[in-house]
Amino acid sequence: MLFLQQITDGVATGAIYASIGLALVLIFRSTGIANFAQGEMAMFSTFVAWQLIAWGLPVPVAALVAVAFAFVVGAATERFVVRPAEGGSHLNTVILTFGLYLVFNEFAALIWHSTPLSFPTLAPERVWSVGGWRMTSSMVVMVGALVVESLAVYLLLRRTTLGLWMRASAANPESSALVGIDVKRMLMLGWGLAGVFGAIAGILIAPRVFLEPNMMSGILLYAFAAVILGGLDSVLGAVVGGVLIGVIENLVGTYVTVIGPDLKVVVPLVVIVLVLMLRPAGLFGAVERVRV
Amino acid sequence: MLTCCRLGASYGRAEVLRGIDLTVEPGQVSVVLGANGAGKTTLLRALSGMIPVSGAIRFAGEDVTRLTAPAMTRRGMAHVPQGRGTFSEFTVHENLLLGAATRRRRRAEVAEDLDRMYATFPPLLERREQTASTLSGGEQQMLAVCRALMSRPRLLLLDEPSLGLAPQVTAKLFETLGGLNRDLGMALLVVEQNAALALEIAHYAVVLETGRIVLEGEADVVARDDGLRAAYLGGGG
Repeated sequence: MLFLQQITDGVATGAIYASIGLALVLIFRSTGIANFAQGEMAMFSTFVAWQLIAWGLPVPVAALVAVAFAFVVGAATERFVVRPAEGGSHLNTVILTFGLYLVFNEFAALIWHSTPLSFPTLAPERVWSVGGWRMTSSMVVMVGALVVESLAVYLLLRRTTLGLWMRASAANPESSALVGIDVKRMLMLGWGLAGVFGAIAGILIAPRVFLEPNMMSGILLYAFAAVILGGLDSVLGAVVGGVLIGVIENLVGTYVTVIGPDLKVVVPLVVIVLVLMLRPAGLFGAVERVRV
Repeated sequence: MLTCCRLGASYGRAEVLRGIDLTVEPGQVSVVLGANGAGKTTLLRALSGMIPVSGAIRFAGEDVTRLTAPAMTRRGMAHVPQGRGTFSEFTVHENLLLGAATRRRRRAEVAEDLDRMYATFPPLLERREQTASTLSGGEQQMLAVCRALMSRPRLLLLDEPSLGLAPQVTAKLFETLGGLNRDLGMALLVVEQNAALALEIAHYAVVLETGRIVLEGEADVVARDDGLRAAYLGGGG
């Protein structure tokens, strides 16, 4: 029963890693960079939700407004921070996202201070238990949100004209511009959507970890492990990778006594190193072919 | 239809084009000839808004000098770049749909055009759900042309369409291009290494050398020019 419980908990937290992972993948596919500020952007949006709740808005409404805010912040980040650096090396942009990490982190500390705040669940928490096995409504919401997000991304990218344009802009920006697609707008849209997925993850995990400026830094590490395991350019990979990392983390923390719950943060690091050594493209990533 | 005046373009400090005056008349095929590095590709990229330019470009009565590539496509100029620029990991059908990106609100019209493309080029219909990378060179070039046609251009720019194609395939391609011009009255501006073939369908020809025009005129006149024959048509004959 303990084993089953660990798996269930792992899937639920894995859903959060996957959600941040989806955000990372959306940006990596279109811009080719890892956005190290993704977690902090999510944390900041979660603080916005908290503030709105403190001002008296119902929790679900506050969450929706914060998610919309995250879209705008994501799109604005592309427009005003990433785009001016375009044309330079990717490393410049990656370092810029580190800068953004600090900006969001410091601003959150400045506005809301660093004392951990408790954050409510979207709906009053309910618990179901069968034998020794427990399941909570917030776990259901976390997994449900991931299912909805993955379906939405799949339908958008594979079934709509807009999604076709987004994929084309990511795959071949020059040809996309030639057929008349506004490639820059597609990039902005991608960053906005990434912001949305990040914010959803932040709002859903905040009740478990307490809200404070460094809330997402550990989670971002797990999310990176998830996308590296799944493949940095694969939407499916982010989902599967996220859930796998969540489960592995819990199982190792429980059953490998040398590591135990206190040291389980090494799990994502070990996964990152192993995947990069054995299969750099990840489980579902496109293996780069060299054309002669 | 398209006029440029003292057109210049540079990559960094290197000036690649200077003082280009060129006019493409409606319904005409113009061909740009010249050696490698003469600036032919840059000329097309400059005209279609892909790189910043000096001088002035007018298209269909409008100053378009500062417009970007998507804006030029919306105004009726389609550019098939060197190497075809197909979306190689996308299906044939997706490639054609992408070609109609500027006509998103005209679904019925786009569907009609798709049917027409498939009817005219049956190999594309057979490979509708295959990725473009699985097509032969000739089919890929055909796909690139069809994709450009999906935007219903008034002027089609083609950069070395014969590159990497077998001679019979190239001949067939130029037949198709000539047909587009004859039957639909579409204006073409073609950059081509295969001067003989290009001159056959061209009304007007321009020869570029190190970024400037050194010879231009009616295609049959240019074709008889001794210098050109020596340089591009295989000997002084």
